[in-house]
Amino acid sequence: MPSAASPLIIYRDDGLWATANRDRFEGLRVLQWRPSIVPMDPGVDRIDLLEGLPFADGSTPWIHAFHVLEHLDLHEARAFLVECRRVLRPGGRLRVSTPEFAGHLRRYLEGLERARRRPDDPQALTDVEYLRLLVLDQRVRRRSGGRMLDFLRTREVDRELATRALGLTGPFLLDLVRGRDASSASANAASGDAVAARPPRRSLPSRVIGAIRRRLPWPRSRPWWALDCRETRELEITNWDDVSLVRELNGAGFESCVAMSDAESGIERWPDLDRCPRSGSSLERSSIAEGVRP
Amino acid sequence: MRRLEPVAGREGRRRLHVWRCGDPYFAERAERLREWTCVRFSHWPSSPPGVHHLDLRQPLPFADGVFDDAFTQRVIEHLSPEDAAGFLRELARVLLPGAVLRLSFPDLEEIARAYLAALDAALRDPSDANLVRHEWRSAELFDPLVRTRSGGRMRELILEQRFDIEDLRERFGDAFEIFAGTPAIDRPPPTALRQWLGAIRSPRRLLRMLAGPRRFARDLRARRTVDPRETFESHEWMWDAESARKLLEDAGFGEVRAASWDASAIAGWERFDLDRSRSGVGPWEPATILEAVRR
Repeated sequence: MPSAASPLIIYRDDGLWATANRDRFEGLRVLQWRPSIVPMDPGVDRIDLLEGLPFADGSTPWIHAFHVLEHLDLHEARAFLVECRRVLRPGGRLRVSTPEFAGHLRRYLEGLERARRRPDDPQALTDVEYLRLLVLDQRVRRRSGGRMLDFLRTREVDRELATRALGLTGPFLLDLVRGRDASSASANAASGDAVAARPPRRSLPSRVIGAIRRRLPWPRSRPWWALDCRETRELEITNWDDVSLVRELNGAGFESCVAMSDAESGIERWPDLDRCPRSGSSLERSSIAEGVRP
Repeated sequence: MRRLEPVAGREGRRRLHVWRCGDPYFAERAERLREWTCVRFSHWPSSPPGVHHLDLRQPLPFADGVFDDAFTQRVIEHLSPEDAAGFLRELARVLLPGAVLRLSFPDLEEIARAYLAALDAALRDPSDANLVRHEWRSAELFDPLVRTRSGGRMRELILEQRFDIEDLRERFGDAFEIFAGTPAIDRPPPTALRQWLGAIRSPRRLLRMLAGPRRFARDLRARRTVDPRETFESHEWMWDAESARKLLEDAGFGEVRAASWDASAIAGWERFDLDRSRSGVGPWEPATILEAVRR
């Protein structure tokens, strides 16, 4: 088994976080968890978290698992944390970061109050619909992008509200879905799940072959963007907050586990991956906790 | 499509009751529901006497304007928003103008508040009682939306003995005891061969198979389904008072009001009192209830 002498970064969605951090990944071992059928970010290794980490025991100084835990069910997440503990050196730190679901709920409740106070304000209604979608959609959607994608395409979402709800990722997704910021092709490929529903453009021969194959009864295969979201692990199927993160880190055998903000870290020479390098604001709203391998 | 005939109650009123939860709910109310046309939202298409098992994503098999009242008990959260809108439009079609619709559903807003309160309490004081409570509130909100196996995380918590019975009685009413009393919900489905052999062993079922082989085969297939999203067990969406009000108004209902579990604008409700729990002091399963009038 190879040893990972450099720190490990594990992430899943190729959204703003990965795009913004591409320069800061130097010297780190970066792994992306994707189903084998979905295309990868360039220059990143694929990993399947359900099969554990392919590294020797006690080989890495620290691990940052960014927004992967919520795509695993509770038992898979527990197995993954134990696996991280195995790969870490004694004294090494694990940092897990997950979407801040409790914050989504708080903002949704505030939005609901505001809409009740101003029943005739269409913007307040749009706001609460957006916030409700943030709470619900990625738990139940069947098709990639879900109702959130339709909503962002057809309705005008307040950029400030999107920033408050999702950090810099909020306006990033708005621009991406509306195609306003076509500045970088990589950002478009790095769309994350929100635009995964948009099929990539294909050449004429491959479209013809596809049309014929779709009419054949066998083999029944579907392109990756049309797969059930549960199979591609796009759904967020566990709920993480400061309490459950610390509980599960403790349960996996980590010590001095604490929840913290995205500005803090106990990792030595932490490259500050969760904030924008220029403005210092959050790339994504997250619940974060760290634990030390004894 | 085969049309179903509504049941006429006393005073000739025809009432429609739709629910999804398990058999005990109906068994306890069978007497009172004599005057109702009973529909259970079920993937299982066979119909025992007195209850129609229907897939509510399809149009309702009743003629236009045949019902005077309707009560849907915790159904719309098991439908996607599009299907829920279609279902309410169907209800508007089968109801007479002026008819009352009573709609009950678990309230996203209320559950969200309860979860955040439990989270804050657990952060302030991480005692075991607070942690268990926090875990349950989290499951109450999340688990029905995301579960991949019948019973989901809630069932695991019960099997792990991680619950506070008083707390759960308060949150889930009678439904909790029924849920906790059926530990083998997600037993593995029987194989097709075993099912057919079982079917042929019993003479009564052999007769049913000969009488309607296609329907019989469909029933057997439905019994083998255990994915909660296919059996309509999981929540496809959740509603709060505001979004449910809008849903009702868009479907052609007006005068939307909140109602309590023990009172209703439905004529003769005291006689039915369908939301009352076994003990009689609280609701069968706490929910937000709205009542609206068909325009």
